[in-house]
Amino acid sequence: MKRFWLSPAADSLSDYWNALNRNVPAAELSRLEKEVERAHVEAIREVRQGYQPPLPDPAFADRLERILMSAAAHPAAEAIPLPRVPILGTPRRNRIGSFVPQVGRGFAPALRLLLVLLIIIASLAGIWYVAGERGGDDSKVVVPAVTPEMEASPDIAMYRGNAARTGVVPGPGPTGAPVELWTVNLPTSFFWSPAVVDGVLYVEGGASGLFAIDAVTGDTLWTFATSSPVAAAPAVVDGVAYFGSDDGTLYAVDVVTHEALWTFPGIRQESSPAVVDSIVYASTPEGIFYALDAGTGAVVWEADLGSASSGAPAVADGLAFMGSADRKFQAFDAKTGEPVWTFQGDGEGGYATPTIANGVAYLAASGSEMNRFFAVDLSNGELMWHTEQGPDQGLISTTATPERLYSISEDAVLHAFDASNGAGVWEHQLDEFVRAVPILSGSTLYVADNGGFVRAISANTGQEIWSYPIQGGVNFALTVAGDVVYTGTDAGNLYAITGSDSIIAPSAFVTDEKATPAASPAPAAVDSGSGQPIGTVVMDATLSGGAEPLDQPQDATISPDGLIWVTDGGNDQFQIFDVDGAFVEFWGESGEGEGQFRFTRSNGDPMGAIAFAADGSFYVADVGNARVQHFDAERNFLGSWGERGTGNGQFISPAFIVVDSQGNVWIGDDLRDDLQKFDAAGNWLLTTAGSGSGEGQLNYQRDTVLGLDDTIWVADPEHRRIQQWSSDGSFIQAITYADIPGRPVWVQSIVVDESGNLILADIDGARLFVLDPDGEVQGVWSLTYPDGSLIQNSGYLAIVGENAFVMPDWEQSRLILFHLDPPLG
Amino acid sequence: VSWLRNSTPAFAVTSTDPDEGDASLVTQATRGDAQAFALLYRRYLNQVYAFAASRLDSRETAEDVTQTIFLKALGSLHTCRQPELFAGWLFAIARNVVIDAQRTNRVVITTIDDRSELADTARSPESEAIASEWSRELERLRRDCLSAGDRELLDLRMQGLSDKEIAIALQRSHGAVRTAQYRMVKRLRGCLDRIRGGMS
Repeated sequence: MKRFWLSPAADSLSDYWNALNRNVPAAELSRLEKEVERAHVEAIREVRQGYQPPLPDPAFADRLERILMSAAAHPAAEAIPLPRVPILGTPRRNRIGSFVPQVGRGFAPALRLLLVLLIIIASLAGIWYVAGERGGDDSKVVVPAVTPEMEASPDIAMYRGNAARTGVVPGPGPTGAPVELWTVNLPTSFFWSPAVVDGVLYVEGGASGLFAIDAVTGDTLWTFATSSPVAAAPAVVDGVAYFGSDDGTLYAVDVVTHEALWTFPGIRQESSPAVVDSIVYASTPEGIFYALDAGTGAVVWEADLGSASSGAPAVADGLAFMGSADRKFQAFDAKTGEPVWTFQGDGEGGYATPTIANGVAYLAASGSEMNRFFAVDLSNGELMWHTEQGPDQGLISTTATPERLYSISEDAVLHAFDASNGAGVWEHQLDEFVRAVPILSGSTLYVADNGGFVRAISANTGQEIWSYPIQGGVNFALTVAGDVVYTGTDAGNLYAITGSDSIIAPSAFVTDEKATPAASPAPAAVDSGSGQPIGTVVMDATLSGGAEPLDQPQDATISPDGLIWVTDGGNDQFQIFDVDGAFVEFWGESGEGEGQFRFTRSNGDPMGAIAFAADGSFYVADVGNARVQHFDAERNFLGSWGERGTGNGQFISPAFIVVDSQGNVWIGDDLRDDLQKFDAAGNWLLTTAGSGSGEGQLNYQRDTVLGLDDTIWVADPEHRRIQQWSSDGSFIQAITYADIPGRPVWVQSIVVDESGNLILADIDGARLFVLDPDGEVQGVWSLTYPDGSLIQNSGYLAIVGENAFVMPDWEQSRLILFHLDPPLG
Repeated sequence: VSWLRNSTPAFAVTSTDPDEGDASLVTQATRGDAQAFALLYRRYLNQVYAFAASRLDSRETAEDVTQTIFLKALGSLHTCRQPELFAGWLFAIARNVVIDAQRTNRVVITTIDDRSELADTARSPESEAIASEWSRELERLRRDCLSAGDRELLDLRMQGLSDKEIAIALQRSHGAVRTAQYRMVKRLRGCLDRIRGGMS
């Protein structure tokens, strides 16, 4: 009996896991990873072979069709009672059942009623607006959380955004698709969240101390060495950075002179300082709570908590708060240290850092069996309400607005609670464990997990808006300042992630001199230097092919006699068109013989390409057969070379091909991650460096094209750059996306015109960027069809004539001829 | 509900070509051609129902959800800005409705075995046996190896959606879906190895 799912895929993964266990070199791991990737589409096919889709009952199908037809015919049909009770009106049952107050039953209808009332009331007041730009659920109403921080600067002065530890930041957060602003690697394993003040990011730098990093560029501005690693989130207030280290020293460092103003010994690790009104609050492991003069470090007051301190201090409403391991939570007069009240909670474990908002202290105490969440009245220290969570469902941290609390539990569920009573509003199951408090900006929550993803989640609905993969897991190192998310991983990578709608530099941090570099005025063709599109592409023809339609066309190349050759991926042939789009003929057939091709490689991707030499002969990158075939101008077979392998002259996925002015042939192999150069007869000449992120290295590269002076340009979207090599195989330069105003998202295709201008097709951003030979942007055009839909998943561009281009749209299986409006000046 | 008894809707437009692409049908349906929407409905009913049923615990709930999905799609068809990616847009609605149903009904994600009553029984005994063995194994992989997000991705994949359509359905970037899918398959394979004794 056939067993499903017994493909080479499992073997390749087995090899991969074994390799991981053997600590084999990164290059070998990368190769194995590629093998896994190559096979994964096949694996999906296998799964589907065995998949038994549940099918609808024919009577139901028939009934529903009638309902739909009637609804289509009667605009008011929605008002007609449908045969079944609508599912959205059923009572809510919460997974953390025991603490849901009595309002829990029938909560959903009640909430909707409340929302309707809110809409009516708010619209009368003229202050409501409907969400929908990002979240996609048009039935939800956003009532923006108005907090004092929203009117302040984008600065993030301390842990959780402020001394009240609300986790709410002014943002506005990234808009559009997430794109990397920069990434740097520091010699540390990031644990604590950075502070961001006046365009400078303050982060722990492991044994090297504190790092001050340019928030816009990622450049290190200065460092401050400490005797042991930084061990809590820094606070930066009034030009002084306050942070603790592993040896218990609390440092106050002037951010202008980079010198220590004072130090204070014996502070507990993990006690991120709070700074309010020139007083620094911190605690010792033994349970002494200190208020220190921010200018001198002198003790203003101290209080004995009676037990080891727990979490970080919080300060709000004239009170300073500190929890302890015996589940006491104490409030002191922030200026005098006079005890005001003590709350004694039950349960297990100490308190996490409290969240102070709405005149309430929200406290989580997590133990192995018993987990509690308390709301304590700030005016008297009395318990207002509490909830209980099951084993392994303890709440880790809380972000608070006047209406809602957002908290993540140990089982990686992001919860939204009603701030007034703790009733559940929505839940979102995350993939991986999360330590960092969710950061709220506007109506979006930002979460970073241990599995290497940053996610933006709608605070109104719990729906994920986007996710962005990063290298390494995140502990507490997450914040949002301006329109940038900053996060650091345990692998030492620090990321700045902004949105595709952001302009050259994040708006919050652009100072005048940064926005307009004096030496290089913005090119005239670019709108204000922002990189925003100045025009769009205009369709001249949309072609579906000859009698046999195009199937996943990938590559378009212009022959010396001016015809357009298109790789017809699914049919293993070429379709040839004239420059006006008229179909001319088919050529080639599927197979492994001479003049036969495989343009679909083993993972199902349509690939393959053609390049013409000056003498009219041409070479075909026969990707599925791992070889190059050479034909004369009359299409007679001249020879072929190549076999599967990683040695010189061998191929795994010869997907890209270029012939230079000397008749040499360059092959780009996106599974070997390299370029190989051959003479016209196929004799191997050189191979470039293989897999990696360094200069001249590649990883799953895309288009490979000829530039001026026989240089080679390669799209390297995994590393968000394009790279250039000289004809002797030496690396020349990389242009990173961050260097390009408007910031491409994924450059799949490149073409170089006669003047050396680079035309880049950004298929995820649906834009064409044109750079001059110096890399300056000449213009950006939207890649859109006439109906406004985006041209994405397109293949490889070619220039047909003056301001005339051809590009296959492989997903739509068609070929488009277009020009730029306005034309490239 | 007497209007339900009409066997043929009076407004049906019969000129619509059943082989027309989604984009064209969406355009026609947006202009009020009910028959065009009917064709879209017939084209996607099985997939939408299978997606709902794979994530919900009863046939009745799956039917309720399917009904809600198509009514919502009909009511908001004018908001489908990329008609050629109608499937992605439809599954974005499907996903939201299913999530709502799970939240409001405290739905337990059903297992494939549990769904055997929902499956097509028109198979040969041998292929039924093979599929049954595979179903059990796949369910174990799905349950033990995959996160909730992965399961959703797999369920969309099972309905034959392309990466691009899945990206729209999940409201994520194309690149993010590519990465997530790769990770998902990697997890499945690693788990398979462990289950079959190769990597314990």
